[in-house]
Amino acid sequence: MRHAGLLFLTLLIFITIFFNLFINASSNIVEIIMFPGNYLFSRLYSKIESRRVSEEILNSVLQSVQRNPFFIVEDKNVEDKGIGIYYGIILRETNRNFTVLTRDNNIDENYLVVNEEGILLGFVEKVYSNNILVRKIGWGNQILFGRVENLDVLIKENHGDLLVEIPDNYILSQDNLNLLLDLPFYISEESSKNTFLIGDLVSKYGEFYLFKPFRNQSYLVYIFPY
Amino acid sequence: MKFIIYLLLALFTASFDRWLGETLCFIFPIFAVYTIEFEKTNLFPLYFTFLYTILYFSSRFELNFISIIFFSIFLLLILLLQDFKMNYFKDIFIFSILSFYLSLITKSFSSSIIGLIIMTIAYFVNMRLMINEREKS
Repeated sequence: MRHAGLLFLTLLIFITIFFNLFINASSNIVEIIMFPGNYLFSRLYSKIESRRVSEEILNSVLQSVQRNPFFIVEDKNVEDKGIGIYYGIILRETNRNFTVLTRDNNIDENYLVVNEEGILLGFVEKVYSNNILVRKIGWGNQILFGRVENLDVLIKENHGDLLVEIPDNYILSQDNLNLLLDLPFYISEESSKNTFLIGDLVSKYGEFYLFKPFRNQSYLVYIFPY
Repeated sequence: MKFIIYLLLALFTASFDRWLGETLCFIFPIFAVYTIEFEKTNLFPLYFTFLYTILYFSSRFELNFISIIFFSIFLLLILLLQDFKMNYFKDIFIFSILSFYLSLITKSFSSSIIGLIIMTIAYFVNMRLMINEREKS
């Protein structure tokens, strides 16, 4: 049976090459096939992991909500429109994505997930009833537009890193980049900043600058449509 | 028919290991030992691991060289140990290498120890009796 083993090994190598060439299609197929198992076990997982959410964490989350109400809807006529902001608690973080436990059911895919300080963490990848799977920024296949101070730059995601295209005549002042992203118009922050990305500049890569995203430390996240 | 059953089993184990593997235990090495002992040819264990590697690694990490190393370790284990009879030490050897590799790449070593205890219980309570009865009849 040595031949069967070698046949499977070569098949695996070819499938690996194919998956790495077409990232979007392959991950979608695997997600569709594995959906029932993922739905079942993510419920169990959130039941087990939510035991770790102790009283101290809950208190710190509530305090941070009270201290700075983060998003304000601006309107001249003061009336209650019933717009709520979805929020959740991070249960566990892996290298590619993290799971968030929420209360709301109306969350869809590709919603933005933002830290309590306004730092963009990622996008919603999959929703399993009340716990959602968030893809970290850098692991997708998207192209965004952002700003460095007053300059428009192009941001590309590439296997966990971000590639930022900065023009040649612009001189970077420090190694820490603050990239600003524009939020939807109906949401504004108290301190009049938009969502931003923080990270370290690593190296130059062709015409792009390689850029490592910031590591998250807080438990509370906000989720809103884009 | 057997191909479909092993496909469903691979789906089950891959999604279990993806979510609960690091907190509880990895379930795949237990099923791999069972399939090696129950099947007479090596085709179905290889097919089962092949599907598991694709599903687990592409959902939890990425499909890359780590997954190819994982599959080739399994292939080497099967080729080296195919002439030995069923034995406690053989099963524990296969189990511990696979589960230690999985816990090494996810950095959770408690899960492989829990899996070792479960495997020992499963061997003496269940697997030895089932295979011996099959040989008698």
